[in-house]
Amino acid sequence: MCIRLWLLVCLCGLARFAWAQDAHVLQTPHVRASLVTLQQAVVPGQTLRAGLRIEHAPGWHTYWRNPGDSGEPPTLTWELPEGFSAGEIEWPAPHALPVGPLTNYGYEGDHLLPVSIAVPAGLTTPDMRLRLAATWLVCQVKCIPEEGEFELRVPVAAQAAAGPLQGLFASVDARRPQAQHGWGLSANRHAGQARLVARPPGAVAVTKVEYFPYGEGLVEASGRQVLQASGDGFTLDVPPAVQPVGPLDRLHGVLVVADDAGRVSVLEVDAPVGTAPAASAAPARGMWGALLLAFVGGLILNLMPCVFPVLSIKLLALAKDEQPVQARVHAAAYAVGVVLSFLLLALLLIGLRAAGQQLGWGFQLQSPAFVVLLATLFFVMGLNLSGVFEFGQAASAGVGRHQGAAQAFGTGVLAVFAASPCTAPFMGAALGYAIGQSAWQALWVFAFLGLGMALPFVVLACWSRARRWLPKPGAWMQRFKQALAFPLYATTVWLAWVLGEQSGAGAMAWLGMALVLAAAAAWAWRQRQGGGGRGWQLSGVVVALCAVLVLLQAARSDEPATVKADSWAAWSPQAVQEQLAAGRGVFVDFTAAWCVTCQVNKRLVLHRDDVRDAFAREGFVPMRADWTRQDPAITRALDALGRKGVPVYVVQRPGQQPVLLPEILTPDIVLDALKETSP
Amino acid sequence: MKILANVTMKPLLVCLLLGSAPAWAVSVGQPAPDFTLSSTDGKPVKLSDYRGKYVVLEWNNPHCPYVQKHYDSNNMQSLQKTYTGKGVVWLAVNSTNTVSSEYIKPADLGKWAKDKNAAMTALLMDGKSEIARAYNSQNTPAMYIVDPQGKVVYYGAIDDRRSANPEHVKTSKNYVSAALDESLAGKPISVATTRAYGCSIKYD
Repeated sequence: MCIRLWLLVCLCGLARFAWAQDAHVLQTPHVRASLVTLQQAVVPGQTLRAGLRIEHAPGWHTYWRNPGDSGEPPTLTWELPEGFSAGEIEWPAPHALPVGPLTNYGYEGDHLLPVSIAVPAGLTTPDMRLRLAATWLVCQVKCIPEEGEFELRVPVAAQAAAGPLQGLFASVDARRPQAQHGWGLSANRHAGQARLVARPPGAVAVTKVEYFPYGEGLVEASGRQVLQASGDGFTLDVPPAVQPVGPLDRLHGVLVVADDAGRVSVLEVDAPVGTAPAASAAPARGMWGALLLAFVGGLILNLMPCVFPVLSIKLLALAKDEQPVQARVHAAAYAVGVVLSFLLLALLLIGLRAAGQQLGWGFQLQSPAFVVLLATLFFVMGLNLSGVFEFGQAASAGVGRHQGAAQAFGTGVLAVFAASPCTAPFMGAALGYAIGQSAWQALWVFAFLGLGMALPFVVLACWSRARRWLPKPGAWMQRFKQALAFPLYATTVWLAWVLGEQSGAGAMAWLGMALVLAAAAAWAWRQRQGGGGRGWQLSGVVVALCAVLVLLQAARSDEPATVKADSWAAWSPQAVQEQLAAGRGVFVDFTAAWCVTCQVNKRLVLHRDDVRDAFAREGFVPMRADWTRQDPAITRALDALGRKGVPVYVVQRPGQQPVLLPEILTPDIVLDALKETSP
Repeated sequence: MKILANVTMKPLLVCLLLGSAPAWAVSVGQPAPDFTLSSTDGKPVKLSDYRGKYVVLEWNNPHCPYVQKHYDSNNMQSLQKTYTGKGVVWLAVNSTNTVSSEYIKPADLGKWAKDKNAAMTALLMDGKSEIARAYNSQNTPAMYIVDPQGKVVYYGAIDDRRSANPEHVKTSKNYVSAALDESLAGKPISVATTRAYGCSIKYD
């Protein structure tokens, strides 16, 4: 009896299947679409798995829930008997399908969009009817919107075996996101991109990882996702959309991970990007590289022409100073001065950027007042070294510990401010990283920069054997000290030139006048120290006040710098686009008068005849973006390039991505870059 | 310093400089890249000649079903008529590359527009897809609005219903007309950035 009934049900099912043959399949020139089920019968109270099967003609594809750069996801609208309910499409992970320079997310070949249908327990009918209205866009180069209505009768039975499509269901189910057992997934911001940090549960050698976002217009679908092994897992850098509809502040989508054993894991990711977790006052993992770079950069700063004289003064004092305890106090004060100054600059920069100012590194030097102050400071220090006057008693031997410590602290502060024109070339990328991070991480980077810079002095001061390397004090010290005045005078001249570029020759003249008055005041001060009367002191103060007034004038005077006539066009985003649109390449020199490296590159490389000829020969328009004074458009362009300071050199051909050159140029670097990007 | 840098800094610099740069994107508030293109009747048209007026850029390709949706429903033509009547300049750009199977010659494209009673100010030929690249435009129809100062004030979709079905036009919220109405009334644009939908621009 039982067997006969079962047979009947099967026969019935087959008969109805045959009857439904036409209604559940649709053949178009590009796809064969059909309404299918996994099981051969509907079992009351159990889930029926059904779906729309799409067999694509070769070269044609349909789309995932996020279609990528173009396209449209399929839609399924079910019409089911009462008591039944269909779930959403259980989207298998897509494939990235390149379409010219664009990328779509979709499917090719024999594919299935599965759905789970809840079947009521008290089902009494001999069969059930599934009806589906579906739309889909199928594209090759051409795109064709298609739609179909499908109907399928499935017998009702007490139990049901899987049908012939078991294999197809299994293969698409394998590409659906699985529960992420043992996976650690998080995300942070890294150099303007979202960095996914993944820790797989076991030791696997990952060979390929793709991230497919659920949201549209946030990730650049055609952008390269860079995979890097890291410690116990990997990172994947996801580029944000070039024209985003919103910030990429969350990675929410599907991750497809292939390993060298040929296995593919599909996981769902949902991780907020960016702001470090509250507990991370300590540097996050993956940040050590930036900290190391900052530390090394700080070390190198000691050799820079703008820092070395300042530091030498301090070392001279150290050579004279025989007391190790005092030397250690000095070293500590100096280190604190350096680190605090860097932190102060970082806070200022972070604060101003948070307040919406378009600033980048070197911003202090964009202010004429700061340049005037720095020039005067260097000049007065030079006068001091030349012996025109002494800073009270502080510089002489036998200073009190506290006074000496305060002076050492001041030297640290001075060294950092003096170093600011030199930081850009070596720290550009690391600082760019720092500013792109959370405030805490940025502060760590700046602190390590300071530690690196302070280290050599601290080592010399605290380690008595190292101090023995220092030459013995003697008469040479006086001469050496006097000789050191000249780099300071040279720096003053350079800063005066920067001011001239910023505010014109008038301001430069006012600065020169102020320096003369400062020298007169220093001389008057010296007379007083040398036993002169109170009149000397009074006139010293009066002259110094005059100097301050003239300095204010220098800082205030603001005639626009004249544009020098050369073959370099003025940069603007629009000018770049115009040239690119006209089919010409563009070479952009992001520069500033206060940037030493920029000036060196300009003199030694960019203004060479062969380089200039190469621009013309290879069809490039050289453009100069002058950041000597603050310019939000330039700051934004630098931000877009992932940089926070100058120099930046960009080579761009029409229709190609901009190429960045190193910050220190040689003629060959430029000539090769112009050739490489030639069509 | 130069020599020092070349000898000792190279490895460091290489480390620092790794990483790629994003393209220079067009975004809301930024100057619209200027261009000069020939219209289907051979006249040169320069974007910056329209300073002082609002300019709509419509990316066009008659082969694309999403473009057909808006022309077959007469939606695009009526938008063109309405806003050119209010002093807005409407430039349709066909960026289909000349090598693409969907490329249409200027005369044929002009005839298509005439047959459709299209009312754009000009229909422009961008046969090397250069202007599409400059604007990072990916879809047909993608829509951009440029303000009288030459800045991009809207980019994205024409409306909120991604479909190729002309029936859907009536029930969709049109972003372009909303943005133009707000702009012409001197109000800020409430939705200034959306995800464009449609076919891919045929770059090759």
